Amino acid sequence: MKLNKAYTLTTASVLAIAALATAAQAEPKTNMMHQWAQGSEAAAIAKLGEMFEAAGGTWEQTAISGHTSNTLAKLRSDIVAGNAPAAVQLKGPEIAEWNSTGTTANLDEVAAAEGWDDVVAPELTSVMKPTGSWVAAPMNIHRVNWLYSSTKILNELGLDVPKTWDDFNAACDKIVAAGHTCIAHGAADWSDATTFDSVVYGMDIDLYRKAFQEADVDAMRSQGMIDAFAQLRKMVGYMDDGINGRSWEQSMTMTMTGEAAFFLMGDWTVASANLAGFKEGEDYLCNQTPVNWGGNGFILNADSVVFFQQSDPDYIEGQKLLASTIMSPEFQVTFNVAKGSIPSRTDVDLSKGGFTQCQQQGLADLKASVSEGTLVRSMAHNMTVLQKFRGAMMEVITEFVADDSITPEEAANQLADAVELQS
Amino acid sequence: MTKRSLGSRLAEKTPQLVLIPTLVAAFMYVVVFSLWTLWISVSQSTLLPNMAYGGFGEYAALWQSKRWVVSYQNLFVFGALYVVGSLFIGSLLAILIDQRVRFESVWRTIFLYPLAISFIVTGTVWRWIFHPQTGVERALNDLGWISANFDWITDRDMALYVVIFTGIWHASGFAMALILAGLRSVDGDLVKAAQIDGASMPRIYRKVILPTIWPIFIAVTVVLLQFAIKTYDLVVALTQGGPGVATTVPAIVVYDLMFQRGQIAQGAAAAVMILVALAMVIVPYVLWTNWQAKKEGQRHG
Repeated sequence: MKLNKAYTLTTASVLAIAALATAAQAEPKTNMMHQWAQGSEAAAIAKLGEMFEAAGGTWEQTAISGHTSNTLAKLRSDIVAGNAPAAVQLKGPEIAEWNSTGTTANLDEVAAAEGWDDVVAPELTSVMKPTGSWVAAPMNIHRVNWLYSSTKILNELGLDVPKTWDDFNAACDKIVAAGHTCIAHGAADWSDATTFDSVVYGMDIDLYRKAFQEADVDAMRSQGMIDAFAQLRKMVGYMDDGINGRSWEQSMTMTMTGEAAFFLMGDWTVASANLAGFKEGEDYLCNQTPVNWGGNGFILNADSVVFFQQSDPDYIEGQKLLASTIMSPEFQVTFNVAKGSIPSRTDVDLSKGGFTQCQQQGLADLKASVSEGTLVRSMAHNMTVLQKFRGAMMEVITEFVADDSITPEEAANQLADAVELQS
Repeated sequence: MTKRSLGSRLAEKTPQLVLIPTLVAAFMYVVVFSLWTLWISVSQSTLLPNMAYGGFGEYAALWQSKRWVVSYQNLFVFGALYVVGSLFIGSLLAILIDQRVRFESVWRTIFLYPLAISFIVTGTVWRWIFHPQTGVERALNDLGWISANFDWITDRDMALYVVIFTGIWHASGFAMALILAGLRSVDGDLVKAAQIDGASMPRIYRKVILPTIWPIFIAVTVVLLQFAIKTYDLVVALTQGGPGVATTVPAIVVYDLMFQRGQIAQGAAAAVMILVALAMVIVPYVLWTNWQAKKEGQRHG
């Protein structure tokens, strides 16, 4: 009995000391706001929560399904109410915009300790560090300039995957002559702009940088942009007449089943296609979209998490832990296998963990593109200019696709006018 | 004595007291928030609201944007045809059902049913029906009529009429239900008197019955007008505002500017323009009814 009592007493005092110790030290907590409420993405985020808890944190999440704008609306009202969330999924220039409101937290300490500057792709670093300090952690890298080809149609007509836009047009002429649809497409502002990203980039990389990364209106009025619009017009002619009201998944299936020869879309296609039972190499091939300047090209899109200033030490500690969990190779592998993208760190080995051939090809091309200096960010996927410029540009591009009475010259001028109007 | 007079005074004031919360709420929502939006539209707000005065530049930028001009025109075309079309089809259905048809309640349910379906579902289903590769055109082609062509939804000039058609399909049952109730309330003696005078049924409807229930038409018009002005989900589900920007409506532009592009001031300017559009319809109507009332008063006085 006595022994038992003494034991209880010791346990109690140990517990009390432990409680004292933890009270002195902050307990890492977080609440992450994101838009991945369903499917494999929700599962991937749940994995982030598990890893965060395994590392000693308390995990909470606010999943806002649907469009990014719902997340933005919630974020805005929280910030105006003086109740900034600890971590929010935001991307591209939005990071700089929120950074300029002076409400974001500084992650330099964690970043320096873990050497983020050495492992994150250079074009991405500038987005995560809008004014020289890390305010966001990148979760992945999506490649926008993929060209998916139907092996069935290529074999039937004995064609190779086109390398330049002239090759592409020549291939399309043959495919159309053989009675197939050349390009599978579903018209929407973002998908039309995705295609146009690849066209401008593939025709003139300097023009892409000036017009789409710096919003330079003179570049938009230049002959190069007119030529790019002319190429886009030609490509609309290679599409069938049902592009309006078709989703990107439907157009993907057209290419996968051999109804259409080519499909231009980002790497999320790989995840969806493989899930639907189509096979890389058998049903479809993945290559970079044509470039006229030779070499490797990579148009980048990335999801990231921005951290906002907190007053509660528990949440500040939680932000550091969450940032380092997101940047851990283990999480980057789990998350990106599910999403079809590749890790935002270039030092992860993709041959392990279930990455597909296309994803591995993506990383190889990314590295090649970094060393060749051809890596750019995607305008269509909100990685370059402010939303107001991007929105204005997408309106012009999608109108051009829908209305064949607009000439390439008019479109180039409208593009510049629309951007000038917003500045 | 004093106690009773207090009680009776209170009883006198009760109706006013009961109305006060409603009046305050209505004042807040209609006047204060409208003024607030008006001020935001001339402020320097971008990503977050910023109350400093910024001028009328956002209105100028708005009216130079092709998408906005197209959407504003669409609002008037859609609003007018949607309201008139729904009233016309609704009256027609109501008159037909009024002919003592058999299984009347079945017909009423069928025609009222579309209103029970959300705009998102309506838009999605009609998109399938109108789309050349899933709907009518495909069906005709499969039946062997290869040259059949029905691609309004992908045609820039016709796509808006697809939206109007779908809107009318959705709302005409609602118009029918209210108008039918009105028709039933018309005094039978009135009809009999007209019949004795030798008027034909169509003429009786046109000259006697429908004119007596005009307040119902006003009520239906007001309800449909506010549907038209806030139309958002129907267009998003049906055409996504496309082809290009051909079927964009103002509500979509406001939402995009405010919540997606971080341009709160310009979004507020667009919202104010929607209010102006509503005023263009309501103000002449109010003036007209006032003028009518005055005329009536003079006649009786």
